Amino acid sequence: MIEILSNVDFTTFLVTVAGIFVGMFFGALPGFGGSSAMALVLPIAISMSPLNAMVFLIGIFGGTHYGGGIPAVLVGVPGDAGAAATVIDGFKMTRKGRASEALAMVAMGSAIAGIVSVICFHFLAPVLAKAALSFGPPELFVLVIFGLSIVGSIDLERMLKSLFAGALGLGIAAVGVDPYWAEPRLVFGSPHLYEGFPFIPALLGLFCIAQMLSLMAEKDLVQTEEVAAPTFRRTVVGMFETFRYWKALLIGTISGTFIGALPGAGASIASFVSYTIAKSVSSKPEEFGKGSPEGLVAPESANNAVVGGALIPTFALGIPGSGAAAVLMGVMMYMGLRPGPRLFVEQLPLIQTLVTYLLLGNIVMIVFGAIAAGTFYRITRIPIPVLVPCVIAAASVGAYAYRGEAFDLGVMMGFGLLGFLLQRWQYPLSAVVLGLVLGPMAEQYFVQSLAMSGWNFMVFFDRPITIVLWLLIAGSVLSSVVLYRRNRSERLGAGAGAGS
Amino acid sequence: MAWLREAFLPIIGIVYSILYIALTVGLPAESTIFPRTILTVLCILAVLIVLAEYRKRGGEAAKAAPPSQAPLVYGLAVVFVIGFWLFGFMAAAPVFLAAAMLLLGQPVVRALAVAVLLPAGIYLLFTWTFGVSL
Repeated sequence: MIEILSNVDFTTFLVTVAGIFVGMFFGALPGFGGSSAMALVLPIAISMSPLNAMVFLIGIFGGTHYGGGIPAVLVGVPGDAGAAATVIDGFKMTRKGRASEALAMVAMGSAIAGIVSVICFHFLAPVLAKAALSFGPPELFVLVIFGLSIVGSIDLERMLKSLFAGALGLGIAAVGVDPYWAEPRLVFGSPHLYEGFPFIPALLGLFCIAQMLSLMAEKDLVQTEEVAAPTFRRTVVGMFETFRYWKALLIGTISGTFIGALPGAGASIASFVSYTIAKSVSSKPEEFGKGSPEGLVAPESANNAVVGGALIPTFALGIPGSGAAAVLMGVMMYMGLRPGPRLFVEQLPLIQTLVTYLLLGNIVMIVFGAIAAGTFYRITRIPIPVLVPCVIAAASVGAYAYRGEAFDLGVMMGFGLLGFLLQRWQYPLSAVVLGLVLGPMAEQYFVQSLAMSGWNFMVFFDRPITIVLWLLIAGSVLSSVVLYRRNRSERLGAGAGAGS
Repeated sequence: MAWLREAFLPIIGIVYSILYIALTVGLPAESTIFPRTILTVLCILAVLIVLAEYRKRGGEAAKAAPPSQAPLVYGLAVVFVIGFWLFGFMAAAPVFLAAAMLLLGQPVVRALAVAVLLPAGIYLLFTWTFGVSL
């Protein structure tokens, strides 16, 4: 322990704290999820060392999940989709005058779950990566398909639209030179497009510009009555009280880590699943939906455990488990790190150091929860007509700073319009991003596999590992459908309970 | 027709696919097999979405979209990025921020304060901390 702490670099620690702070800030803004926050700070992240950039972005990833619970508890509006289940009992606790305790439980539940999920990542990811080291191009192609199978399960209610959005992302990623003969495709003679559309400006357009344009349809971020500001003393007492609900904490942590590691099944599913399980094993199930601390701790810990869980397939297999993980993976690739089995051979010390900072980051989250959570909710009062131009100006600098090309500003605006239209007609943006990130890899492994097998398509089906992977894909899709149905029925049940 | 409005993005997808396939004629198979497969799937999905929307809203008249200031903001943002390219961030950003906030009904003092302070903060962060020239 002492040896680990003696290796901690103060600058990297500050970067961790900054990441969590920025994540909490954006997480508390309803409609501004982890992917948008990560996209907005990309220009800052890519100017850092790989370790600092990863720590910063993962800090934001975790911070937004935690921050999303703050407005959910205080004003009944979830900061992100994963905090939707937090509203059910968290807001009821606030209405009962227990806002300080509720915020404390959000902080402590998130931090404990985050620590456990990072430990799971530390022990499970290398095992998974080792197993994947023997993979050749056909296995890697099917592995990428496994990642792309997320696309269909992002929004099961609109599966056709999700698949269309994923295919559109893959199609857009196919602009530029091909990986086999380096023939330019659809570049219109522009050297800017030889490497395809620049990733960071495209992300800024899809997540920031599109999100801001969509927000223009809203009047205010939240409309609700004022609530009493939480106090420090009651918050600290509430933190210790969290451990009284250890069963809910354990359920949230385990289900969040496991579901987070499943491609496609994100925080919103994890939090509702853990809510259901916690209610079914609770000695006071009748209190759920009426301000039960167990009903708050379980979904909120699951919401944050998803972060460590999502890192397992992202780092070990190169399969991002969510839109935010796809952004992280894109940045790692930009910095010359190739997420996947070989990362644990080539960069093991980097991963071990990363784990140390992620553990410290979760402890920082407890401190922030004690002293600053009440302050963060005030940012929901920022008027939209102020927020929107400011974010557009900041995003433009981000797109330009990437490589100093005016062309990138145009890419950002183009993708912003595309993202706005996609959102307006309810196509999931994260499916487009997964297509953009995984498209070049999918094409490379696909062509390599066919070339090495003499254009025999059976190469994707006649190897033992590919057969296992196809079965896993089928299992993953089926489990997503089952989890979705269970989540929907529980959401309806919880909604009815909350309304009564 | 409501379904026609819903068909807009699928049609864009089909047009993109046709354009891509037409402009990559003559390239080696290794260069085009993957994108052509994907874009064929994209076209099939686009047709399925249009058919599904037609079945769902066949005779439904298109409802007028609720008034939104998104086109105004997008237009201002386009002018801003052109100004950014021509005159630099420090010249374009204050004008954009002040104009956008005033047009969106914010008080003059707040609009001017944000228009001055935010670009200054961003400029200092990027030029001093990250060494990026704006």
